[in-house]
Amino acid sequence: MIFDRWIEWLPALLEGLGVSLALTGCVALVGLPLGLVFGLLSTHQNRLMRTVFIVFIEVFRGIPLLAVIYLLYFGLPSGGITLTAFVTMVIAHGLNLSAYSSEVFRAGILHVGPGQREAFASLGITQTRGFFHVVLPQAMRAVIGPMMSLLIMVFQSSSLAYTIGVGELTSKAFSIGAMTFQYFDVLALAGIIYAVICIASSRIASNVEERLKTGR
Amino acid sequence: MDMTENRVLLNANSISKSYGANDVLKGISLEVHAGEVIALIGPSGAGKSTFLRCLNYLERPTSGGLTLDGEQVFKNPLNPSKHELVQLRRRVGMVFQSFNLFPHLSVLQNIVLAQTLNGKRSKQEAEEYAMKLLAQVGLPDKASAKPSQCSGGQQQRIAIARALALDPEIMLFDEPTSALDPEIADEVLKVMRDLAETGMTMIVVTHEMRFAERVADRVLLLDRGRILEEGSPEQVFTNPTQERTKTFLQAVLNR
Amino acid sequence: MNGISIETLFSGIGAGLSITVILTVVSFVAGSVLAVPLALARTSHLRVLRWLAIGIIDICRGVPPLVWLLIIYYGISPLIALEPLPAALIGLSLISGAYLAENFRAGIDNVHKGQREAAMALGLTPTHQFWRVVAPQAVNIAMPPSASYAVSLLKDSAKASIIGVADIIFMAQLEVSRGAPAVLVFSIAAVLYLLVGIPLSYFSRYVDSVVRRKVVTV
Ligand SMILES: Nc1ncnc2c1ncn2[C@@H]1O[C@H](COP(=O)(O)OP(=O)(O)O)[C@@H](O)[C@H]1O
Ligand SMILES: [Mg+2]
Repeated sequence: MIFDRWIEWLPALLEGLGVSLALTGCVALVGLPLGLVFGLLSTHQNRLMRTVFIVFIEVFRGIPLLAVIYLLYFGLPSGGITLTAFVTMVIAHGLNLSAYSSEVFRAGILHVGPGQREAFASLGITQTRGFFHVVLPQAMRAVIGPMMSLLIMVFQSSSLAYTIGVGELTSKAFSIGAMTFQYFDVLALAGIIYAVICIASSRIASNVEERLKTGR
Repeated sequence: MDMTENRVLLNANSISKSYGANDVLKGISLEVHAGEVIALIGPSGAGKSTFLRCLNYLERPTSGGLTLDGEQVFKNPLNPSKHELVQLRRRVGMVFQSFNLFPHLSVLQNIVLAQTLNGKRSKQEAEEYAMKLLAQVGLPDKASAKPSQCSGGQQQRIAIARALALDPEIMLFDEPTSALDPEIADEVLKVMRDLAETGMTMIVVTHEMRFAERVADRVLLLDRGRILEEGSPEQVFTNPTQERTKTFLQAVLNR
Repeated sequence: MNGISIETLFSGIGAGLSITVILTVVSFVAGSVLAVPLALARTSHLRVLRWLAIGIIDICRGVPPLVWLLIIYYGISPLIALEPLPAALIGLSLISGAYLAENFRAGIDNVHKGQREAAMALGLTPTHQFWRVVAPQAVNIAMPPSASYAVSLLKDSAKASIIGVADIIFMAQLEVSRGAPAVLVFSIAAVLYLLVGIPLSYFSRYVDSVVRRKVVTV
């Protein structure tokens, strides 16, 4: 019975899932703050600054994550830098996420609109204070929904860590497949685990988004 | 000039409509004679749109029946067949407050579409007829334009032409000028007045009291799902029987 | 550097370009074809059909693309002897079918309610209401997000290299295994993706602006 085998494999896969989730968390820790910085710089008043960062973001968004992973994984050692596969993945994926999240932050900041800026300017509030007290909190609200979808994408793409042997869910499933030759059964189980988590969290995400929308 | 004939064209018999516990129409009956123009007025939320939409079954009445030209429209009014619905709507034209022209089609195609799909005319005949109707509503040079390139008043006149293309026996108008500036509304009202003069049977939901006064043969005031006042424009506007009618008319005239 | 010139690297890696383009184009087209019945079922008034479509779409999107490719190539293809390329095409088409179905569904839902009513009031049959009035506008609305999805599909196609499809990334790995410097090789690969992707995303923005102009109603 397939279910007996699934029960047998489940502990190993759940261990892999733990690594996937840890990876997702670390990537978020790198990619979100970095994305906020890039997002701010890409709305900077200085035109040159703005252009540089917009181009940087656009370029990064145009490159497949896999190319970045391989570039770092195979490229860094020749420069004398050796990192673990996990750290390599966090850096590559974190950079990738920063490009995507900066777009979301930028849209959130622009979403607040010039009316609000004029409002605090007319109240004699300084640019900086106004930005942190008026614009940013409103932008954050607009940003939460898309950000959750991005994190679900990050969780899915963490499966690419399989290519450099990080030992997350997909790697674990594949190595069980290689040992037992029951690729279909074990990969299907891994697929179900991914799908359950992604479907559940995207339902939650759209609920939260709906509530934030109607909450105002 | 009164074009009204004696023949009853449309008979709405005790039409009721509820949304859950909300009784929007409480048994409205109306006989519409061929060639008659009826103005339907009343405060917002009274059920005017709902009543009009029950007449072509865009809204399905909770109870009540329709006869068109002396014949029952539906064998079973509570469960109309697709065929019966389509037939009813081909005989009853409707013009919406928000025009609802098809934005992906040119003005001409908007008017041709239903004629050809309904098998009423060949493509060439339909186009010729559409051109004739465009001339009638004063827009002969808009045939190849897209609706988005036309002003609101032009769009509404095109929508009238589109409904007329199926040679309806009766035309329903749901606040056709409410989305328009007053000057622009006049060009639409003029087209409607011309249409009335050709003998078209019309029911017009409107807040344009001057139009109702001049063009309508009969004015109906709907309030909270009932007909509150009914009579010639003169009767209703100068000599209303109900206190609420006076209040309503004052409110509208003082806007 | 080991006698490898940038030109030879470019042509070596560029040999995978056509496969990358084939992966993207074929799975986008096949996905669009799959998406139509899925979107129709998704918006059907029959509850069974709707739930079936939701289930299929959710599963296709919930399982990561790489895992799909592994399941199809390692799990299924031994039974029916699939080569890597068709296996990847099947996987990517399934995924893009599900994404595009969601775009089409949103397109159908976002056609203004008055449009269907106007079509009804003109006595069009339900079939004509949908195909002649709602569907053309739904396609217009769904076009811009679908065009920008093509850009993400281009990047997703890189995962096909993992099951041995000889695309840009695969050829790049080959060059690295022959001793070419990885940073240079994968930078070249990145440039190749940008060469396809940037025009594609400009095109998708162009589609967006055209459609925006076309769909405006007053
Ligand atoms: N689809 C619907 N669902 C629930 N209530 C509705 C619906 N359509 C109309 N109503 C209610 O019916 C009443 C009459 O609406 P309507 O016919 O549009 O009024 P009018 O056109 O006279 O302004 C309103 O109270 C409105 O809230
Ligand atoms: Mg109304």
